[in-house]
Amino acid sequence: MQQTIHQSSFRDPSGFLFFKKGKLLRQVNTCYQKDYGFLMNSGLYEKLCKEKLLVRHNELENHNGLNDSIFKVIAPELVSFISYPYEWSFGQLKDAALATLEIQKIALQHGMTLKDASAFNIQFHKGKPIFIDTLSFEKYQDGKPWEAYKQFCQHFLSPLALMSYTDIRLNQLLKLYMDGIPLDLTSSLLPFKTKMKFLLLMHIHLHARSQKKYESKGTASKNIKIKLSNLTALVESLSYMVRKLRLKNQGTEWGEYYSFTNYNDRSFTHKKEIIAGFLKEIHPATLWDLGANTGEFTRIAAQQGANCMAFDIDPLAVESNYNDIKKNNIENILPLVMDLTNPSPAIGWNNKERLSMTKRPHPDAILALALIHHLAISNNLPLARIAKFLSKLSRHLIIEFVPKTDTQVKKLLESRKDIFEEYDELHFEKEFSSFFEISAKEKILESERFVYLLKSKDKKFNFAGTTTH
Amino acid sequence: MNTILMSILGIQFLSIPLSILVYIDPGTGSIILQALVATVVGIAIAVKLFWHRLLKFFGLRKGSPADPISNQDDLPKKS
Repeated sequence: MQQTIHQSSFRDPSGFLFFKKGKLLRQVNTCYQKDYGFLMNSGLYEKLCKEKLLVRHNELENHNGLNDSIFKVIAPELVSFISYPYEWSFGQLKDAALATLEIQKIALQHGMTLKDASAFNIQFHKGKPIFIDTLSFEKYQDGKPWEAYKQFCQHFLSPLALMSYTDIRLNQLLKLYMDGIPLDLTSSLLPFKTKMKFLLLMHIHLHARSQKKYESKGTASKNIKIKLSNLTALVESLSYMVRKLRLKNQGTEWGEYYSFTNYNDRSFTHKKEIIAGFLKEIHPATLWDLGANTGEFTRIAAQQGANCMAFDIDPLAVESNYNDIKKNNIENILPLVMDLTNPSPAIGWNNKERLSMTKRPHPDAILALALIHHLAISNNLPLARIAKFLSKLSRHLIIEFVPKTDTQVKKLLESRKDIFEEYDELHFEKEFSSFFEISAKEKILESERFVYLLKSKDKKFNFAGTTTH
Repeated sequence: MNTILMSILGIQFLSIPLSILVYIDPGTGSIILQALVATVVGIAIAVKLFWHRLLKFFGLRKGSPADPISNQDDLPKKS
């Protein structure tokens, strides 16, 4: 019976995640028994689950766990796709921060507190942020400060303030700093005017100075006591500050893409019809839309019932997609920021704590619309490499070929030498045929573009029926 | 930020230490700053609630404040 500990589950002695026969379980250790009992019996667990802020779990009877420290084994409800804070848009990170603070507020009302406030404890489930670490709660001791305050500021406040006041792309620093962006770095990157904002001054700038001042005075804070009402006020102040943070009006490259394409209404409608038809043929349960922009085409797959990830390089397009998903309560699309020419790497201890994009569960189908010219021309990627990469990710591929005669491609070639002699329909089909079988091909009306339905020839997809990964 | 300032703001020190050691490092400077901010915003909220009740008492305002710290301009600019 194969049982392995989850690679990212080692920090907290309260327990750990492990896989048993491919199923994800959590061992609760005896040292966490009292806190676990309090969580379950104080009404906190039920309240948080009811508010959809914490994943539900089942307690497994007679499970031996993985070692002698076992108190209990629980089977948590699983989220469909694990994503990381450096892949979230501003709004997603903000909602994740507010969810964490709301959980802390409710926990304090139930006599408990969050002992950590890592952004990695939040995942997006059915369109909303949810806390996934059941063992993060401990009994509140009267007067005790919030131990996770520093972590909350580093994981949430730092990137949000930087995205809001300096540059939307700075959440990418979370890839470099796994335990959140150091506050002294944030303080130095924020504009001077943020020192005039009371809460930013306190939670970021003075916080950074205080950390420096007391960095080698480990015992100076040992006897500090904070009244519960003041602690609640602190959480309220953080919540207020996060709610107030807004994105500046930053025009990025693709945010208004649909307003600036050379599509006319007829081509656009026809393209949608082609994609809807192809999707009906393959019925994917899961789909990745690569270069999804604001998710216009992702919604076709979502409406047909597929669980979709909408990846795009443009944080504003992802933000716009997320806002629409929230507004319309769409549960089966998760928009994420992703640069396909440099997808999320595996990071953390032993490069195994956080998974690379390609190591996460692969979808049944991929949509790659108006993407190929960005990879092949803007990034000089040979067509064969693009085909090989995509053929390993998914059984089905719906891909649009955008020829050199298209104004979007002309624009890309305007300021550079055309070294792409083989970028044409014939070579596209030849190169992709080495890795895919062409199931269907349709020309978009009143345009030069084609949409293909392809089937991967990769050996792992050679079986009939739905693929599991 | 020193002990005198903390005493003025009413930040309390215990004679018996709480078991604040957890599996993540809460950071000495972060705990001290947290105590300061918690006290300042705690006082600000208390003052605001008192002010609201006073105005309500004299019939100058109705209802309850939706967000006790909804106006940051009311808070001091510096600690």
